Amino acid sequence: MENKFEIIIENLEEEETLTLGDQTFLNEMIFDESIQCSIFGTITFFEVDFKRVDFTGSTFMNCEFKNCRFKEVILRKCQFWNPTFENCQIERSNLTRANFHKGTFRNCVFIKSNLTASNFSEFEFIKTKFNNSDLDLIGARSIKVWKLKEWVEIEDFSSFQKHLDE
Amino acid sequence: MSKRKNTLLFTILFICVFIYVGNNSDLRVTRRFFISLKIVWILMFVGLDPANAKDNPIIPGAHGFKPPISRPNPKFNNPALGGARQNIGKGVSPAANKPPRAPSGFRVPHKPVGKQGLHRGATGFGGSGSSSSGETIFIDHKGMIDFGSLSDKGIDISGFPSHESVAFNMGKDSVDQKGKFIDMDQGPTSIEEVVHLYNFENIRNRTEIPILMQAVLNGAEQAGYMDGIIFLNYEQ
Repeated sequence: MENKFEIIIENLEEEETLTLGDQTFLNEMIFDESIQCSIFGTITFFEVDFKRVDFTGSTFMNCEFKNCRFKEVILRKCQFWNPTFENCQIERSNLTRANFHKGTFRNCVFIKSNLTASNFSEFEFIKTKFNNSDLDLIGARSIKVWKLKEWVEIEDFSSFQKHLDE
Repeated sequence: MSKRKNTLLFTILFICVFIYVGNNSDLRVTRRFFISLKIVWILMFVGLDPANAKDNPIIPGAHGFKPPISRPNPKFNNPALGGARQNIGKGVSPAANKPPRAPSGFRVPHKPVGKQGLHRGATGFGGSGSSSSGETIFIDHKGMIDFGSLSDKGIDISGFPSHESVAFNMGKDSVDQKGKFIDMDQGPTSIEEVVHLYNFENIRNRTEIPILMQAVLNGAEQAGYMDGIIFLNYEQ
């Protein structure tokens, strides 16, 4: 299996910020990397396993994650603009104070992940579960949750958490 | 730098900052004094490199981080859990590769700090540290990125939001963030203690910066609170 993503990381110069765009990464495993403050634009990750990757402070623009697994991944204070997460499993990961704008989580599951003080605006949740995850201080604005075959619009934080917990 | 030079520089900087803060805010003299003291302390010993911004262990955010040297990190020790093990102290994840530090433990600034602008009503800043008076200011550092760095690499950014809308959202979100951690253990006791620092260092088209500053303020205004905003590296 060729790990294109890891090769790109290895070829980075010292102090160089990882800036990537218009690419597709397919069936890769990315382990034990620290790529804080990276910028990703229009990237598709398909069946990519991220394990112990530190993306702290990174920006993801128009990125798609399909059938991806995140384990012990740090997405703290990351900015996601127009992201799509489909059939993803996010386990034991840190998403504290991450910002999500205009995107979708579809058929995703968060397991023992920390989303404390993360913020979601104009976001959709479809068949997404949060198991044993920390949702304290979560922020929500213009959120839609697909429940019982219809959209439930959520405006305030408390009801957002209630819907996610159910 | 010798101790004498440090002292002299500290004094000069302190006087300048004290006067500047005095002219640009209506803070009380004692508050102005301590804020100026903090600003100078930061400038002298911590610098404003994002990596130096100190994180608060209670507020689960990364105030400071540095574009790291990317390499496998065998010492990664499950910091994803709870965030409690990350960014405690200096705001740098244990996964980050740390540049050399001065023997004192403070990082020597790498480069001159750009111009700083205190929005009227800003309460000053200090990397979530406390002054001798026991007063604590909590800092949230926000660095704007330039999508031009993507288009340089041939990436189509036509579908991206404009820098202005990103700035607007940042300003808007900051107001929510201010109130989130009030009265948490070791957290701020009021929103006046939380300062948001917007750094335009990465914006290459300098003529765009006034628009972005205004967008930040507009976002904050729409969310209902405009105090505690500081702009960095906004000179054209």
